[in-house]
Amino acid sequence: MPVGPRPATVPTFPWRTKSDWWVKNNRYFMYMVREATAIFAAAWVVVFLIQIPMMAGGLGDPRLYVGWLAFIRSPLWVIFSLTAFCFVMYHAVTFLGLMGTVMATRIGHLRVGGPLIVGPMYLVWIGITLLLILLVLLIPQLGG
Amino acid sequence: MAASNGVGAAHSVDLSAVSSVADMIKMTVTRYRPGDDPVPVTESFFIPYHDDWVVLDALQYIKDYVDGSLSFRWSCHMGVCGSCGMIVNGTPKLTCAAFLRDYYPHEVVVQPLTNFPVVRDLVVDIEDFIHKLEEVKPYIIRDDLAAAPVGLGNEYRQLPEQVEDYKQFSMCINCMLCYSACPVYGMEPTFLGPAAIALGHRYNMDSRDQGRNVRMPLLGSSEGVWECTFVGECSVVCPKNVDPAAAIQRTKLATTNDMMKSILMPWSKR
Amino acid sequence: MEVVRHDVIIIGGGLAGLRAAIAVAEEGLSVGLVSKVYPMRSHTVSAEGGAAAVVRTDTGDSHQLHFLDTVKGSDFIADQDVAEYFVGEAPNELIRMEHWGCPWSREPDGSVAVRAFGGMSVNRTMFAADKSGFHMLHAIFQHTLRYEHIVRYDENFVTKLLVEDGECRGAVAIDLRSGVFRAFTAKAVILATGGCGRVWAFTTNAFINTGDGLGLAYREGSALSDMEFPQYHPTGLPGTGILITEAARGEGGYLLNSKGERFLSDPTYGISSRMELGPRDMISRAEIMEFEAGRGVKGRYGDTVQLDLRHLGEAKINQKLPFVRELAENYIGIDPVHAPIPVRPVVHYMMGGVRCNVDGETSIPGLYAAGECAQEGLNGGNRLGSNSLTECLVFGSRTGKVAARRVAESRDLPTTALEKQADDEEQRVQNQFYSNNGGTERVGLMRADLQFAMERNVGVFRTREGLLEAAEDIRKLQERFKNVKLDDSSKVFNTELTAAMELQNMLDVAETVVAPAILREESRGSQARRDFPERDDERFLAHSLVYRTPDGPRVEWQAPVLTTVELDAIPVGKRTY
Repeated sequence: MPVGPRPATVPTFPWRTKSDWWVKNNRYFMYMVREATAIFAAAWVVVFLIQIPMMAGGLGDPRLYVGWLAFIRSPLWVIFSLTAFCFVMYHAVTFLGLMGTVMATRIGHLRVGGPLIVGPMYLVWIGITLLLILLVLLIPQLGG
Repeated sequence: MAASNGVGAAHSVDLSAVSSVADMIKMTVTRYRPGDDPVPVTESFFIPYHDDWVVLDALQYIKDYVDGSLSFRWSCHMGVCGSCGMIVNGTPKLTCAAFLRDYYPHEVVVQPLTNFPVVRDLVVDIEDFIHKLEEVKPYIIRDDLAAAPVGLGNEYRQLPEQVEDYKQFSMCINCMLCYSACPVYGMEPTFLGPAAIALGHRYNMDSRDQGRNVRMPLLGSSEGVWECTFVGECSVVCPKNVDPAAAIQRTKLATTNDMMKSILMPWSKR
Repeated sequence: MEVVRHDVIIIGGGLAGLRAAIAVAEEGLSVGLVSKVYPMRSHTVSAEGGAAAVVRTDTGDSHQLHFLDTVKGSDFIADQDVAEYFVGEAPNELIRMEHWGCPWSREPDGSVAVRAFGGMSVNRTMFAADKSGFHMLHAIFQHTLRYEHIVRYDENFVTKLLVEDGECRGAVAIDLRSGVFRAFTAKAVILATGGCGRVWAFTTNAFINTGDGLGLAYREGSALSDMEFPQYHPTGLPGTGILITEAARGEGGYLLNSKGERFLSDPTYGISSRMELGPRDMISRAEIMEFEAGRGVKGRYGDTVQLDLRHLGEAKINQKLPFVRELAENYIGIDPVHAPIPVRPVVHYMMGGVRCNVDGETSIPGLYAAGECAQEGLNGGNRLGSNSLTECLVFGSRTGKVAARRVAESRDLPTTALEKQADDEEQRVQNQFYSNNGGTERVGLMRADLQFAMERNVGVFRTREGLLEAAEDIRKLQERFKNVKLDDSSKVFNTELTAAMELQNMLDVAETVVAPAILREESRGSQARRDFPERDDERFLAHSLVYRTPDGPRVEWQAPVLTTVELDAIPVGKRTY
């Protein structure tokens, strides 16, 4: 290793990150919020998964079905869902926004980055969302 | 020698040394004398305020006229050598580019860079960074390098747009403000870090280089790009607009592509 | 006392030092690179404009032309054999830097681009935007990381050279981190410590440019040469002295006085054919004469002239001079796209240095010098802009090879005497700076006094009376220095100690500047005497050599070499453009 020897006995004052590092500035805070979106997304999915046996069980036992209906109509579930939705949207928007820097490249003489990448990605995202909404509305009709 | 009682011992300046003083500004700096101070302490100085001074000028004034034992690194005073990075009022900055007028009349608090061990006062230990710089193999790697002819007309051709591919990432002055801003590096010092990865990316993107495969194992390791969670503060504090966060994410993409290619098309050589 | 052994010790980690290190390492020898700062902090990093060489001939360029420009630029005291070697090797070194990754700016076809520069009759300055020194330093520093044989001792401050039986075989240095002294021993020592601009009050130079290598060599009896020629760069920002590159003029910028005139067209200034691309000494003198005629623009820090870039347009400024725009906006709040930049002459480079030959050999066997700290005969009385980055590479490379040859031809010698010297040196430093001897003089105050004394009387224009006053000021400061008192008694990263030792070097340098300036009773290159306004080729077509004696500096004169091997020698003539 091309660096000369250092005397081993020189004490330095060690660094320790404090646990409140992320309240120091706005950007750190919003970063933690962005990371926290994963928790909300995961939590919502877990609760949703729990509902599946409730719905399935409802075929045999009407009480379970009624219980499930009451659950999805409860203010708690609605608020939780809306909150999770906001967090997931924040996650998606920050992700798409960063893609402009991440996927920047050059094609011949043309430099492709920023809005040239983010724009199309938003279009694709909206497109797929619309398609999924269509499928969710149409498929039950086809099956029924 | 200034007294250090640990909590803001204020010093007035010897006014006979100054010809005209309109206002004063309070500078609070971190002191750490190994052997004397068990932990870093703060000390305050009131010095004359000049509207075209930078924080570095203020520190130099303290050193020259008030307390010669204040230690800090400096050199070029024009934002290109990278020596003078410190924390100014909570933000990593080059003290030669932090103007007193942006803080005056409030107190200016100068601390050593966060995330590094402190050697003395405002001087931190950057050996870890130097080591990482070397590990990333930041030089042109080509088989024909040693034998390549030099002199008139023998430069490797590189189109202006090819220079632009890596130019931004070559602007790093090694000031380490990015390491200071990166919470991951603060908690996980094995992380290669923004500047080292940006430098590796710079060489990967240089059309003259053929050493990408040599650098990727380290860059694509768990201490390399995959330690990064894209907080993005490194690019915010970078005084040279290197955008190391972009370099890291693009390298993530590159290592992923490499891995996919090696799985799906093991016969192809890059 | 810890003893560190290498084949070659290099003191200074800038462009010349790193290039020499590579040259030695390529011979398979071990190098100890000792630098008081991490190498990427070396002042090479601030160079902006570019590096000159004959890398294109489609411009009508030739070695003969580069040679002519350099010798004429030196006001005819360059050693022509050295300048000849320089122009021949220059293209090789710059293309080698390109191979090593330096991001040179390019023509649309991918070949390296060149631009105009002061005193160059043809465009031959290769550049990396306007941060050439930065890119060159980082490229070469990163390149040295491939060599196992180059061992670095970063933040080690050399306090004394180790000379035994008339041979230089090492150096003593303090490890700043710990305060521990080390004796570095080798068969050859190369000084590459750069310039000494900090001896003056207004300079483009960094705080670290205190002439350390010059002081080290001077104190061991080596001659310093042509020290009366500091270069005044015509375009430094007032107050901070921050450099605005000559490339701003190379790209077409104008210099205007308070009346908005391009005053360089005045025939009495002798550069009406080159205007803003004349040599630096002549432009600096023209500016001072404009100030004295009352045509300077008055500012907070005195007179200035206006560097006008507005006609270049925002696109060109952003592409070719982005750093200039950034500096002007940050440090004086001016956007050069919309307003002219106030500038004035500031000390920038030292043409003088440790006297050596083209191989870098000084008068002390085993001691070499390369780069700005060396006076190898290239620059004479005035250096052309963009020659010095190339100078560092050409002579760093050659000196490294020559030092490596010496290593191969030297025997191993015992180092006991060197270790004793090192122990004595440690004791000296302890006694002078650490023991409480009741001193009263602050380093910062003495340094400021020195800098203002030099700025007052050893400026662009000098007089005998002024120089004698400066000599007296320096002598008084040397006396005061004996009473130096440090606030800092710590061993760990004691920058007040290094400041004191740097001041010692600065005082030595100052003495070697003033002595020959007094005795050179002529105006040549960057030395302009009001009392002797003409050149005197009969008496002073010569390099000055200054030696240290107990009674003060002794000056001798040495004729320059005026013969060449292959190129046509340049006859001594008038220097007008």
